[in-house]
Amino acid sequence: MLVSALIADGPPNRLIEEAVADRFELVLPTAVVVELERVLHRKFGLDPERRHPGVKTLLDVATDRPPDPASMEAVTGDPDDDLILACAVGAEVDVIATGDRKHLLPVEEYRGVRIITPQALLAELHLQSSS
Amino acid sequence: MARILSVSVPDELLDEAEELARAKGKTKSEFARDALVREVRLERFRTLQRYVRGQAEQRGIGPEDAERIVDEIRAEG
Repeated sequence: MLVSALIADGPPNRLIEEAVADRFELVLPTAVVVELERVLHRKFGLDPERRHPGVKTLLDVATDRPPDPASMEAVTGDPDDDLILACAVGAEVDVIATGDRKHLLPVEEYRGVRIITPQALLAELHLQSSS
Repeated sequence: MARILSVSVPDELLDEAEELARAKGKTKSEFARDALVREVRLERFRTLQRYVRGQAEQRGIGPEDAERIVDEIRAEG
């Protein structure tokens, strides 16, 4: 979702803006930020030695939670996504917003955490703010 | 270290800001500081977006490639 938010305008990008405006609590595991920085370096040529201020914004607004070891299970078929699920359970988040249609979205719900698209989460947030 | 920023704003805007700050239980200063923090954070993120979009365009990368890019990075280890 973070890569999509950077490449184009759309729900992922709007969700980040909502998080910056404190409309919901954003939880980003360290592993996700590390992965984003690798993408920025290897695919978009950013200097890996200097953290971009835009990444600093994500770290400023997000909470980092370590994965719950008891929740580490092979669920999605991708160990990196299993780690995200374990972090989400450990952080007791309500939802995971993701564009990953291969591994995460098909799970739909895991230990009380709903897995939905950024578009669906944005719609829910707008519904909450208008009610 | 905290420094003082003096900003002139139209009366109407200040009245509205005071009212909103009160409703949130914040002082005028806290309200203005929070707004400034948000704007700085957003602008930092938008700077990164502009950079990535420029690079994506040069490299022929579109939004439909986001998932593939993450998969490739994971496969590279």
